[in-house]
Amino acid sequence: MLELDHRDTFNLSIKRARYPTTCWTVIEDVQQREILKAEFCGLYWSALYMFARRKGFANDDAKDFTQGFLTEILLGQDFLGKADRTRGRFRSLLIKAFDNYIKMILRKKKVPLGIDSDLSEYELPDTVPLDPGAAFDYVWATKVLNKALTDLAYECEHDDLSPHWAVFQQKVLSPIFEGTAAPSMEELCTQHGIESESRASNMIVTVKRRFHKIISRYLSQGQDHEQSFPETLEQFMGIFMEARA
Amino acid sequence: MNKQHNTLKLNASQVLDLIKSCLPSVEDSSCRSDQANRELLMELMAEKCQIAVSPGEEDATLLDCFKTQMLHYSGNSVKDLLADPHTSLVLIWHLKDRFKEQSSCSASQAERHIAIALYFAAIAHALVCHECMITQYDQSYLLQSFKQLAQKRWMLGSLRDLYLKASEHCERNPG
Repeated sequence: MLELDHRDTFNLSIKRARYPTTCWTVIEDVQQREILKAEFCGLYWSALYMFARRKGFANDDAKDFTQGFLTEILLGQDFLGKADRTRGRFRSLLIKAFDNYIKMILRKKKVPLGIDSDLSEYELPDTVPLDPGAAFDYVWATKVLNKALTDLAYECEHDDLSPHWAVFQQKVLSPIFEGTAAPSMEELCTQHGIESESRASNMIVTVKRRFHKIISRYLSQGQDHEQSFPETLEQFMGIFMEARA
Repeated sequence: MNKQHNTLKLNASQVLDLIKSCLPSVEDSSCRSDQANRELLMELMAEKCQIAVSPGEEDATLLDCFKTQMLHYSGNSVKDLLADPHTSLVLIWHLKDRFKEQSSCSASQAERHIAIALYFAAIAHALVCHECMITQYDQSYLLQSFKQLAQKRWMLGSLRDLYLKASEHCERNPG
């Protein structure tokens, strides 16, 4: 099969906006930083809250700590701008900063430690390790997946790929989320008026390719070193493997 | 359409199944029939030409020109751009770069091969419609590549014609 080599460096000299290879590169850009703040709050609120709950704080205290940290430290003190890329993985840095924030509040306000073991409001599978850091990672990882699936649905709708999404949802998502039996390709073709099973199969692969791009974009954020996607994905999946029964 | 999926409601094994199911697998790309390859090619060609331009140190005039053309062609598919002999060179150049990049980060082997075919289609379009060389590859290598691609059983007729015309161009203008 024909291959490309790297001799052809005769590229168009217009730089295209690319997804950042790491979160750090984005964070150094002031405008992008503002945009990222909203996304960060969405991705990390639940994970930070769960971290505080697993530290043993009651629901209200955990919510206050999370909200206070995001408002005062992450947004107010421009934590993203001050983040030092040489200091390691972003999630580790965030957990450390949050832990320090909680300690600082406890020292200042002498807040009593509200022990509350009832996590029913925010249920995690029983198999998730009790360690607060593991809970943080688990919640963050599920948030990333939720966001990736939401983005995928949006992209498919926006790019006139609604039939592709419908087929993907029925064949791939519904069996997992709703426990329904996956329809056969023949059934999908009949239902959606698709001319051949290979066409339906390619429609699913098209959506998978988009998911691959979206998830690799999210997972490339927060890495302190360039990593290949398979390595990053392996680490990401490791979070769920650790939590498997 | 925009149904929310909450993976926190799943157990860890289900989430792992979900991730594996959502990513293209080796099975998606191996032992593909010509028909499947042709359909994947059609899928890639049906994608709209999308680009985000970041203003910076680049030449402002070129950038303005480029933005104007992007507005004109906004929403056009790759297929439309390659079929139109008047598609501007700057857009064809963009397509070439896009598929070069896609070939290096494809989710599957099949996608990589098809991205390479579209990369050469952009070069062929520039040669045939603009008489312009937008690559550093030499003519003999291009000639060999175009002929090889034109012979692929999964190749679409419109692209095959383009490769053959580009081959003729290379033969007429060796070196």
